[in-house]
Amino acid sequence: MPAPLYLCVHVRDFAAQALKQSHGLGSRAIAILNGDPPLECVFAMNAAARQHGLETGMSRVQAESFPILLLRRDRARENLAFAELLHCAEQFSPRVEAIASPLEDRCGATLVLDISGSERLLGSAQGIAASVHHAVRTLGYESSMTASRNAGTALLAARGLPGIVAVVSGREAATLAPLPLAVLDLDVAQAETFAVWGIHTLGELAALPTKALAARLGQSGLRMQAQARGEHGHLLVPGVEAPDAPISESLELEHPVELLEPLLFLLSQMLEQILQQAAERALAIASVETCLTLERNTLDLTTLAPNGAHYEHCRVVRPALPERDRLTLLKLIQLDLELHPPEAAVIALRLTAHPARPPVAQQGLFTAQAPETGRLEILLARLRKLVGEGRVGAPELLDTHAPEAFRVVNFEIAQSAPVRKTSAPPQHAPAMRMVRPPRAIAVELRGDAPAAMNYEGRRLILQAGSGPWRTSGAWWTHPAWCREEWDVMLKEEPQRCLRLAHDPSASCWYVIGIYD
Amino acid sequence: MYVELHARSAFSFLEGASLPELLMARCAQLDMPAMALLDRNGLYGAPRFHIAAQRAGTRAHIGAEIAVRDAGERVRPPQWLPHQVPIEPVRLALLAETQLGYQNLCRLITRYKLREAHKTEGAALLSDVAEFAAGLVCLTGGDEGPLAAALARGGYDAALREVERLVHIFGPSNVYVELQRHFEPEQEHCNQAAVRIARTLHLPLLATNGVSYATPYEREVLDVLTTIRHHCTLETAGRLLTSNAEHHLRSAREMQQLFRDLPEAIENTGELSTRLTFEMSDLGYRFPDYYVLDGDTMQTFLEKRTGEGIRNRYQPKCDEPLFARAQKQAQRELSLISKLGLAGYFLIVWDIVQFCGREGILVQGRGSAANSVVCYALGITAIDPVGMDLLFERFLSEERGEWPDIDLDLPSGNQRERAIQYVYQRYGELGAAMTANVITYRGRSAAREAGKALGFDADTLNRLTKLVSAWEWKDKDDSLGRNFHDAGFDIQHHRIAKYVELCQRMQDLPRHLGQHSGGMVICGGQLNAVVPIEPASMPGRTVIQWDKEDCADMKIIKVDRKRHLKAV
Repeated sequence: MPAPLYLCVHVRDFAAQALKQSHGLGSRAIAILNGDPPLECVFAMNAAARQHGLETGMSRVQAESFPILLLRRDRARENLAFAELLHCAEQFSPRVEAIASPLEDRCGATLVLDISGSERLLGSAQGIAASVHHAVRTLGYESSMTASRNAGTALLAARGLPGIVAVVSGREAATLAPLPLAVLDLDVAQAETFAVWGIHTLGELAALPTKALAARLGQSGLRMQAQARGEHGHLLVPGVEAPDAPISESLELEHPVELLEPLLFLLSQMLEQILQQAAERALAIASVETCLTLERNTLDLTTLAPNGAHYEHCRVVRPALPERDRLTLLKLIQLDLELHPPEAAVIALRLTAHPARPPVAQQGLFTAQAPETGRLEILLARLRKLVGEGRVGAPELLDTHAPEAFRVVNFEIAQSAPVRKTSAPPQHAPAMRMVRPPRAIAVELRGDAPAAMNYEGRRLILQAGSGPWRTSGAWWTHPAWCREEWDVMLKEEPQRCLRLAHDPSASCWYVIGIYD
Repeated sequence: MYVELHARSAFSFLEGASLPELLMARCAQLDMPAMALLDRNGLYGAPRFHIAAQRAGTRAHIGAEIAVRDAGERVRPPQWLPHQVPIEPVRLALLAETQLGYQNLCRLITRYKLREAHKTEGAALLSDVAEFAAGLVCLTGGDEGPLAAALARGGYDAALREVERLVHIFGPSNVYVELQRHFEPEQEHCNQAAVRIARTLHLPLLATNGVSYATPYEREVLDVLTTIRHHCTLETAGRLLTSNAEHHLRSAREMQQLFRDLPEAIENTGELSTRLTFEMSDLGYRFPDYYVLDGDTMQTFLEKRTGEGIRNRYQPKCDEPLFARAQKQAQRELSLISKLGLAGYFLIVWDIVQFCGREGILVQGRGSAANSVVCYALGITAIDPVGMDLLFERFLSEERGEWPDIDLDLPSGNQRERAIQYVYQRYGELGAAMTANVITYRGRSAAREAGKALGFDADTLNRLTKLVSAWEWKDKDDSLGRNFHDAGFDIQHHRIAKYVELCQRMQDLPRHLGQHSGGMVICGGQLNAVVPIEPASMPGRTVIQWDKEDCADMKIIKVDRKRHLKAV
């Protein structure tokens, strides 16, 4: 088993850096305000703003007295940026723990990577750290990173030391000694206690007598001392994301877009990103939800709910089999949006894809080739656009006694193996062709039974039949349905056997089937 | 003549929509001379059906549909059709021909009910059926029966073998091949096979209508009950519901028209009805004897214990005239007890009181028993009826022809349970049982269940249910419809109107069988030959399938009515 080796990536002022990156603000001094007006206060800032003397926790009024740009906090952007950072780290190790992130309402971002055994693959600890540093820098973030055999040491050193540091094994305490106590997560009381004692650095904390420290600060004191000595064993808990967790991409548009074509161009790029992420998990896309945020001004506000939930136009495209082809998915989205266009101009896009295992099918040598699933899906979508929603697919019987009750569902690929036909003797059951829609006829009765009928312009005498078969239901609705059916044989040539239906409530007769 | 010989009442618990009285009233209305009641796995509705028949001047044939575990599964819709019909065992339709048959039916039901560890439907084994087949007539049944199941399972040959098996169990003269016509094409396929089998095995055909309700109108209630049984709504029940409203009682003329191609199937109903001689007028119930030593009879033993009690109760009072009056009253009561043959009854109650005394369980007679000096002397009651000039005839009267009813108050909880278990030990598991309590749909429960069936959401359901007052005084115009109208519901709306209507129609229909809090019956001989016994929800308790009113109607004596003694 390789010796443990950890790399800690610390991005100071992550919130500020993420916002600056997205706004393209270059080297301007910026500060991020958090909270609801008028109680907004400084949540994060970049180094330039810090140089002006700005501090976190200052009120907006105080912050406005500095020559800096004040921005409101954008959690969505932070989350997106952190996801990018996490994704970047996962390129180097599958075991990554997020110590601090915007999700926990922290202004910085800290990740610990387990890079044990990666030296032969990626180079020395220093080299790995440099590679990660370069990758993070490519994303536009200034970071500090430390590699160490002790995860706790890597964490504290990354918080306290700039640039890239590789701690030599056995030199953990010496490396940490000059760092200020602020790198530890001290609460206010602990910070005050250490200040009163005159303890300012980790080295001073490490030198304190253990028993006396434990007597005064308890277990937390011992833990902090072990951290300061580089002896605290940090149990790395990697954030295990379910492989089939949804993948999201979102985009805000600078101007409202009314046409579908420019949207498709953007959707294509977003789909590319999503498919790339799915491919990294060796998965395909089972469904894609397209949410279009609509512009309020162009909407008929009277039709909207007061909560504003309906300002989004969401559509889901679900191919029969998980799909990996971008063009196929894009075409499906296009056809769906053409069938269900948004009611107003679009100001933001969000794609949420649910990944799934890609289909694996073994084609038999002599079996007929089925059409390619992607092309079949597009064909079905085109048909759906042509004939309407719910009119293309496979019929599915409903659990009801009502006659001809069915619905149209999407085609599904049977998962089970095809059933082998047994050598049972064939059943000679008569087949019946259903007449759809039923054909109305005039019927002459003898007693309650039909005796003759006018069908296709001819008067036909009926031989004795069987019936009536009575069904009725949905009595709790208005109107309920009821039906009587008769199987009758025509007396004249051709001696066909028909099924007649009678609606007693409407006194109407129909031909609903012809026996073969 | 046509006699309906296969009908289920609401005592098939959620599988029948009409009370036995209603079925019998409809039977009389249709001029049917007799009718048979075959409830699912029990004789729950039999006493009420019998009493209703007596009042209507018709005959009540008694039977039951018995689930049989190893006779296959009852017919379900084919696999290719979407449905939620659960797997259930087939049910044999059995009719009691003689008193032996009735006793065997009771024993059979008791056998498989008590085999279950807890309260459940249960199912018999074919070996049980064979053991208790004497005196019973078996019908091959409708959709729930073994013939239809075997036909669906293995075609004509399997159905033939199944009927042969029934013939082997019951004998060729006691199996009738049943035909039902509910205007369903699948049923006609089954009927054709049944006729062929009957011709092959030389068995008689029997037409029935597999009745589940008295009139077609009640099909709606049955559908609602079906949704309650399967925990779904009317919209989602699908093929669990009946496909039409044809399972109602039909007149002889209608049935003759329906079976005009098979007139013998109609004629055989009259013949079979004549064969079924058993009536519930005499169940063979006998109150148990109290065991006394040689040289004593129950009467002399009772007289001795009463004499001792009179002396113990009255001599310390040093009131000679009162003592003399007490002795005289005791003599009068003892002579009436002797005349009515009730000595055993008093001694059994005395025995329970003695047991409670030995075990330190507080016990106290209550009600009209306090008017009896014998009860006072035996320590059953604590009130001096002679000293207080209480009227004995309020308790026991030769003219009334009723059994006396001695109520005992016992402490609730463990002590009461010990007294009950003492009775079980003394008279055996099959000799004593608690009386049942039929839980029926009342205002609120009916409103809630009907609302659920119609798919009302929880909020609406709560709002509607609150409008129903169960026990409050009602004026002559106070109706459910008016309550809903006053609360702002539009009762002209089809859905609300149907809901109100269903609530009213579900009133008094049995919901399930509970256990009466105190009533207990014991039997000289075996109680399970008089009425089926089944496990109660409480461990260690068994309950008969009839409630206290049914017991009274069937002349079955409750030993006592143990109630909670709140003051303890």
